[in-house]
Amino acid sequence: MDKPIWKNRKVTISAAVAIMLLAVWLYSILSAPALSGKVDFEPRKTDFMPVAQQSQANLGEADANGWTAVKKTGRYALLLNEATGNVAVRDNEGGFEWTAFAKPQQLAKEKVSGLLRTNLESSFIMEYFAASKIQRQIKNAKDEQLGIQYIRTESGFAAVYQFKDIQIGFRMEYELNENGLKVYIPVESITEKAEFRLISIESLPFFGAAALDAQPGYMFVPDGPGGLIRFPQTNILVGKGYEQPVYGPEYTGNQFPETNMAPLALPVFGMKQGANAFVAMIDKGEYTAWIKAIPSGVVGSMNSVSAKFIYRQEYDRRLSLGGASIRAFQEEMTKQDRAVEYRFLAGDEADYVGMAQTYRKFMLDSERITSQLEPVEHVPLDLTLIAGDSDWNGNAGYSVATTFPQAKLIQEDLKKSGVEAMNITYETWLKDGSLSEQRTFSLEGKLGGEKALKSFVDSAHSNGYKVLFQAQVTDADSEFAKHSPKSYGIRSIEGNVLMDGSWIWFNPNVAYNLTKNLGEHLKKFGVDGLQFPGIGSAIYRDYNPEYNYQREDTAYVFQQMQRYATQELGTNGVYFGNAYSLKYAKHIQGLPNDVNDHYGIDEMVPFMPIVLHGNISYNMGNGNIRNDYETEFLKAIEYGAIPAFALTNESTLALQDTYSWGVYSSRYEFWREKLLKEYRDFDQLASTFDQPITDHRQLSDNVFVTEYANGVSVTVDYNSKSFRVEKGGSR
Amino acid sequence: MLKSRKIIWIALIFIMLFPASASASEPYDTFYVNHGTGSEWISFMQDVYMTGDMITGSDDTALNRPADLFVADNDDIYVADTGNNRIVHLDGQGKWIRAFGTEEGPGKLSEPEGVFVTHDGLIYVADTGNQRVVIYNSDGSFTKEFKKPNSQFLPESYYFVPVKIVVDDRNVLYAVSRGSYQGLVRIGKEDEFTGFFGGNKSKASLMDRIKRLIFTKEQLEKETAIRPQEVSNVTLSDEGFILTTTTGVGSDQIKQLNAGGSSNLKGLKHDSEQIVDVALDSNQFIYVLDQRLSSRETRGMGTITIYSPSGTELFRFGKVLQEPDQRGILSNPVSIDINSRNDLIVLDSNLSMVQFYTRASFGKTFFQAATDYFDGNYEKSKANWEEVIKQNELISLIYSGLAEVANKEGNIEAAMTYFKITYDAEGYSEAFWTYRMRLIEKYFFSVLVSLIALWLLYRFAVKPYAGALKRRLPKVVQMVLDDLGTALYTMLHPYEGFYRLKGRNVSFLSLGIIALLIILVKIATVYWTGFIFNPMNLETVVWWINLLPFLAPIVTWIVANYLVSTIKDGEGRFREVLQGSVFAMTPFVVFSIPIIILSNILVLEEKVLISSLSTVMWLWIFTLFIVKAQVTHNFEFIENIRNSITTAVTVGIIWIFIAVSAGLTFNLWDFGYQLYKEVAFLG
Repeated sequence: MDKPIWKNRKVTISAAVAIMLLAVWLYSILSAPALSGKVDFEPRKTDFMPVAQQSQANLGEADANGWTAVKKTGRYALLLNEATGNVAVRDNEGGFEWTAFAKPQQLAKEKVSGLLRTNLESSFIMEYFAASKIQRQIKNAKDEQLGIQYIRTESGFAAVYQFKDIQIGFRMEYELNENGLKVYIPVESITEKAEFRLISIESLPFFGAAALDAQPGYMFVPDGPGGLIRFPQTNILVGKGYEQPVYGPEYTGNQFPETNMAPLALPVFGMKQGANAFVAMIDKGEYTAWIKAIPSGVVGSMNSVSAKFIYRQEYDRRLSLGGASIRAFQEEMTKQDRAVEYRFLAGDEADYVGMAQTYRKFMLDSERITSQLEPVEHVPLDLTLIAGDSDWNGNAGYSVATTFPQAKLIQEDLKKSGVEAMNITYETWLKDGSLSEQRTFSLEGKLGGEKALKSFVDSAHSNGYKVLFQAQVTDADSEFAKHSPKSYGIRSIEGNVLMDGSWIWFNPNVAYNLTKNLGEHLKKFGVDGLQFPGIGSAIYRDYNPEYNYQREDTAYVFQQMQRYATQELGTNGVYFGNAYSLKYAKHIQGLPNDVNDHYGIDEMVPFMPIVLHGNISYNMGNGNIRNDYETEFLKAIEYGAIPAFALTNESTLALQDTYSWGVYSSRYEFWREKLLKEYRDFDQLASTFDQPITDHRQLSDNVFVTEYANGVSVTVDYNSKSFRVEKGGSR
Repeated sequence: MLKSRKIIWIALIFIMLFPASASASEPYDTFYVNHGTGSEWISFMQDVYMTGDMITGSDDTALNRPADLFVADNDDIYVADTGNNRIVHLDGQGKWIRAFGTEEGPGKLSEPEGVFVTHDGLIYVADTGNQRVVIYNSDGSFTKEFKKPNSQFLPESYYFVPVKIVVDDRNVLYAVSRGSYQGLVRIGKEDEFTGFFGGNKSKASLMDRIKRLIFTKEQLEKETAIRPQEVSNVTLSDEGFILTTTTGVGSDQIKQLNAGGSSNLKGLKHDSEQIVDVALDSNQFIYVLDQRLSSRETRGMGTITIYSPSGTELFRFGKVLQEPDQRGILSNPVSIDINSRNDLIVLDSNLSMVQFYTRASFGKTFFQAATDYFDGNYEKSKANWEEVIKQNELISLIYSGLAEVANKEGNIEAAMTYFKITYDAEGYSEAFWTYRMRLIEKYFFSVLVSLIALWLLYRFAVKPYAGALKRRLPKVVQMVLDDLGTALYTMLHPYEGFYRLKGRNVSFLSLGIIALLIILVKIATVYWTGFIFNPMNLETVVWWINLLPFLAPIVTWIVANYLVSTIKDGEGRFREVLQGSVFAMTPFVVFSIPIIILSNILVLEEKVLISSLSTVMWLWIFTLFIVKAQVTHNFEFIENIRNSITTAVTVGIIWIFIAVSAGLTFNLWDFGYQLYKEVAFLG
């Protein structure tokens, strides 16, 4: 009576169903496009600088005050005071002396004591911790347990530091050249022989610090487009001084920002005292550096600005899933050579314009900016068209804002209305927009299809416009993207996939391959370039053991993506403009147009524009989403930006419930007139498009003038809300 | 709930990925709170208020733990500089004028925590440390003082510790006294105590009520008395209303008191328990200051919330952090006021500074339009709304405003479209009334004629041949049509109908068709009910989620009824119970269709027609179910009632059972899901 179990019909059916389900599941996994982390470019080479060989232990004769001249170049002399450990650079032309810290008589007035006091006369401040305890401890060059040895090198001297108690040792090498002073901390010189671990080193924390009796001046920090902290202060101090990471906080330490603080885009800082100034460029190891500007009153009366190098990242170590966490430090040291290059400015050059021009020269000479703009007849309008995006409501799907045919009509209309040059960026065009499943090439069906796309691109070309497509390839929503987060997402310091909500970041190699995939397909339609929203405003590590990427590696891959876009399609653009993205960038969207309102910052200056203008074009935010329409417009004119708008054909209500949330006014119909007026205004600056900025200054209250190399000057008057362009020679 | 959480996430990601575009200049975000009938959603927007000057002073002019701020009629700012035992007088821009209250003599202050300036320029100070109120002349010289009023109504044990004060136009002083749960202390012109005013009501919890019921007098006396929360701050509006704020409570934090001392401000909602102060501008917009720390959980909230004169929430902006390092972010805001230029002025006690927020150009245009709108000057507001919409298309109030304008101008179609965008059922209904009126005027005759023609067509062209037509149809179709006819017959003659059903098997095809009809009609009610009676975004609707709570009770009833009746010697087989129940739902189909049609024709005032139809329908269905049970199982009437009650209880038990097992299964499922997550994300 009993049938064998395999002959039972119910069993057979359930088995068949189970097999079917398994097959469907397997298919869904296998059908996700296989992405690889393999890339077709040369990996980044890491070679560390050799530790300078000892050439001569004897530094030479000291003068009456204990100063030994170690090295001289044409203009500068490098001096060392072996007794105090102080280092000085003397400008032979003006006689001004920059010292690593204040002299004893100046420090006599300081009220602080203990470690805070000795910090003031140290050429470094070091943080470390004992491996068994997670507690920051501080030592400096005045520590009794410190052994110091000075040795002469080819171009200067080296200070060899060795702490006897905690057994941490490192070197600071000083190199004097024609341009100024360069200070290195070679990573190969760092030794940790006991259970103590290095956290950070601030090199020359009080170099050129301004004491209370110093000439009035300011500290420059790369906040927003550039920010100044003036001294002497006029108001009482609020806050604890300025201390910010270059390129923003490291997400992989589970440190997502709580504030709207925009990251520091450039690793540079400066100081001006009276008619003398220096600009300091972090040449090596800037990816894990912080910039610190401490106004008088925080830890003494000095105004100081310096770089702090992080060797071990602090992070939140979770003790349970979603539960409590404790602070901890990264195990392995971040291996990076560190270098800060100080260049000195005097007289007319000693201001933020001089600093920016020096930095610009540095960037061009070291090929960290390689683009050069060509002269133009008309300023190009930077028009972003938002295609639409996925709606988060029930069954709504993709909500269309601008289809290909509509995009075509818009650019035709603008051509008729007198917009002579334009770069169009088309956004969120992938199937399902921001929630694209695959991020590989698949057009959103509701936009009109391939023919319509081709027709739009061709029409734009015939009007002399360029069309860029947005390539959102660096991040995705893991609930929708089909790629396995574990294989393709970056991992945090704890080894798990880094997530913010359900959002993940792709490993840079994966992003590169996605870029290639998009590029290959878009080329067929004649698209002129890619605009990368994920490059330029955020950089991160990847602790996935397969890659083990430092921020440098990520930046390097990003640069390859930019290079690929330029080679394959013609051009590339980035967002915000962090320094590593400048190497190959042709255009920057959303260059910061305001400082972060940090307590210390007194004034905003166009440092970044001076560095970029003439080489990379940039816009300073879209005209349709300004907080203060007039002021931000004038700011863009003053800072030499190009006009930009991000528009849709439909009402902005189409984007209301979508993942492009945050756009509140974008309807072409509403903005057409203002756009045309603004375009005509900006077009008056066409002759300056390829020209570097030679000067920028304040004429009177709320009136500023910007001058370009060809003699054109632009005066912006915020009182009357107007501006005026004067050709060269008319002054 | 889900939606708002999603929004906050997106805001977060948006800000993180595009730090500069999300906030071109301010360290905080501004949101608009949109309101529809029965729904609320927020949208990100440009700033309405921008960070203005920060007044910190230096050396002698620096503040120390200040507690209160007041903006006088001439925009001068008075600060109760508590830590320095003085009152600081600044001009409208925040420039130092003078300080007073530090000189030896009767006017010397001790930790003053409140300040108020009358229209005549008299400066009232709550001299908290000295437990008195001091009045100074406009030049800062001592005039007189109030100590604890001498009154038989004030108990001996009562301490008069004034912390915040206002003085109305009749020179009546209202003081918040620390530790006084009775309310504001009111002191008349003649310095006499005229009673407590506007105290909070104590809220007895359920437990307290139970205790009061069952405890003896002695036991009750041992219980600690339930004291209401004490009022923590007081503000006087230009119109003479007194507004109080109470911290530590989650509702009714802000009260606008009328002459009797009771709140007349309805619907001003806020979710923080740390509201410290309010300010009103000359147009009666209300600015509420919240002290709560900002965190990832409160993203999408703000520190300063702006309400319309009628108490509708409009904007949120600002941020509070423990140790802020950006201008415009606050640390421990304690007081807010507004000047004639509509700058908001906030006092921060931790940072010892006065922070200005200036109205942005968008804000100016918006408030002009909104003022006219709330005053009912719709035509006047039109130009401003048209300017506002060009700068922000998402703010729903714009559409309410434009709708009213269109209404006034007689452009009814436009008004209806606008009301629909804001999901405003009431407004839409009013516009629709006019629209309907016009339609009737225009088409009444032709509609009437065509209706008559249709009827005639049916009567003379279709009906006579209907029988013959039916006979020509395939057998199956005929059968189904017959069953449908039976269903209708049963609806009207339940006893007879259900009796006929007994022992007969209605084919599954017919049952399926009737069930499908019920489901389709249910889905139709979700999607096709008129906007007025279902004002929601249909794109948010997931149809099967609506179906579940509708079908689940019916299915459980069928099962439970069968189970119970079997035990209780009911005659009905399962099939009979099933077909009976399906037939009993017939009124749903018959009634819902006219209800859907009516909901697209009627306006809100005529709602009673729809609701009564709906009531009749459900009563009918209910009756049919009862009759069905009786007939199917062949019960006595009383027996049937008893049986039906048992069935209802069983349904409840089944639901509890399902809930419990679903909970357990969920845990299992969740375990699996978490395991998957672990594998997929934790490397």
